[in-house]
Amino acid sequence: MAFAFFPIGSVGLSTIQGTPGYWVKLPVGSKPIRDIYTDGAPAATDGKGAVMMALETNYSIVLEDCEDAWNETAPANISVSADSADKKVGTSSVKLDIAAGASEGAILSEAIASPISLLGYTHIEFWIKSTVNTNAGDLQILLDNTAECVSPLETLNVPALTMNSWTHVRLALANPGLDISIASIGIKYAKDIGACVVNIDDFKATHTVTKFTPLTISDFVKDDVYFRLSSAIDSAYYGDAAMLVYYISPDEDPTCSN
Amino acid sequence: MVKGFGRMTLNFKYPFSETSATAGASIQCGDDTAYVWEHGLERYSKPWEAAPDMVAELEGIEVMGGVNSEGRRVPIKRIVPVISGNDIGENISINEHMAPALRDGPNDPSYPFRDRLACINFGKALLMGGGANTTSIKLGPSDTLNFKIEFPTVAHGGDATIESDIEIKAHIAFAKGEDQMLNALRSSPVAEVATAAANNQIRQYEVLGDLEISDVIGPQVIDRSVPATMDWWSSLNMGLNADDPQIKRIITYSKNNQATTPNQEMELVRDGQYVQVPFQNFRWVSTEKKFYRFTHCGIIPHPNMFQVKFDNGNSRYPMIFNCEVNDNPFIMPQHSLVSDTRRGGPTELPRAYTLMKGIGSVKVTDNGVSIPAWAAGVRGFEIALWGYEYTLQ
Repeated sequence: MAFAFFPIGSVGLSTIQGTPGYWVKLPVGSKPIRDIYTDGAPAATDGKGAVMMALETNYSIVLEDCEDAWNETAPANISVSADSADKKVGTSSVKLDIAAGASEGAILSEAIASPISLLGYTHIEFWIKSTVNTNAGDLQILLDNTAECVSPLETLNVPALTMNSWTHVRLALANPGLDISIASIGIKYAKDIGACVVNIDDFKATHTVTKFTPLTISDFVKDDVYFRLSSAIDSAYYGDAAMLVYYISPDEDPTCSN
Repeated sequence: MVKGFGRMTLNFKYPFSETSATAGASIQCGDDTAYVWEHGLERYSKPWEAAPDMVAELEGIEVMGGVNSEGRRVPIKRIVPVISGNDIGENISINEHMAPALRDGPNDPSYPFRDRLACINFGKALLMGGGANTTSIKLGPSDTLNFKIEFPTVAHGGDATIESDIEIKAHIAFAKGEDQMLNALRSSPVAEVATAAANNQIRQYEVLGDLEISDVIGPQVIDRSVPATMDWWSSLNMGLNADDPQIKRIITYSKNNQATTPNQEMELVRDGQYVQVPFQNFRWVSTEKKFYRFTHCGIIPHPNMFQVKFDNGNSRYPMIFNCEVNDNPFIMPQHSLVSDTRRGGPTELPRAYTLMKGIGSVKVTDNGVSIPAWAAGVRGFEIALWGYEYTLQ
């Protein structure tokens, strides 16, 4: 049995041998794959196929479901609405139509009706999409125990976004021990990135732990180093996850000639 | 006069990490000051040259590197010896899989073209006891030796940029001084060589027959003797001035340029259609004067490959082999991935594939699922053959 263990931040490939899909390439120096388990997802302890080790949600609580427009504040030159046409969870997302005249530092916030304590939580997760490319920190997420996020307990930088693509973001809370009675959640236009439209959806506080998740391999290239997963890995796992792959290499194949 | 006799290894180095090459390029030692040959402390950016009173034989070459960032051997279209400026690669097209480094990792005792530490994939030297039918490449006095490396285009599966070093180890046997040459030939363990040399002749001799068709064409004899002087050296087999009857070495390979039609044989012919380039045509027409014999084969099968047939117009029972990834009788000396296990090879055919007065070709069949054509990022199959071409008077 050969195996490979590697971080999976950069292994997503698009087309191998003319076949599109979510392909994974074993690290340079790995033995090629003669055979690998492809009959569905194995148990994590089976010792066959592919198993991902990643931070995953242990338990969570919804902070804001983004089913209606945020309205605790009304910053100038930012029109806010519920967008039922472009959303990731539920029936709507919150759409921010940011005009060119929006001021750097403007904050759009939403009141949380029943204040939430984030003691025992480690991250917040949400979906976000922008019509322009952004750099890390151009947009920020704020959490506060006072209204309108005037003195935020958490100021979290949104990572760089690729335009017109929904991104699942997971951000570690900086001070979860202080995040008591969170009553307001906000998004800050921290840098003037010009006119754009930003959609946000499904804010959760989560407690994450490292979990072992078996993956389903749907295909592989014999005597090469590529295999294809049945579905893409959530981009939120990039940088946090490693993959353990068990397979048979040519030199241990009992039918191998010589 | 300084005499000399023996074997030496010339290292032709192509440091593409210093001076890179691109897809489709053709590179020779001397094209750039970085491309050099070395022997001991000698180091020159030009072809190697035999001394004016020296005869030499290129017995074989080892190809070392390159390896790209993916851990794959850099695809090579062909490596061919260049003698005194002449590309002698009529039948020689060596790629990255076919001429392994003998001392790259554990020694591979199963590699068939080896004589002690010398690589003899062209042929064991006459000067070193090689047979009277040897096809070592002959270099006469003052002949030069160079190697040309051609890279495939991206469309044929080549790398866009080559930035990994390649080294060709050339194994040379030589005799400096005519008496040294004669002494070596007279001491040959091969009776035809030694007896002829005793009479101041160099004899080339081979009998070629095929029992299966002996009623159609009997054994054919190639027998040619030349005076045992240095001036005649390059007229021997695989020399620049070789004359009929003669034997030429074949070391070549083929790759499919078109996807196979499921369950139908694909004949490896028509460059630009079924195969990529002309030297990959695996169809031979043997006349009353020209014969072919292939002795070794190496295949890197595609996962959809099922069968390879060595068709022979004279035989109703051509050689057919199942050739799948899991059941490949013909191991290629090297595999594409450096990390892959080295299993020896090429494999000697169970019976030589001989074509005498007939047409033969190699045909491939898939397992019911089409084998794709080689392209950028797409791999097909690859078949390499080692053999000889015989031309009668």
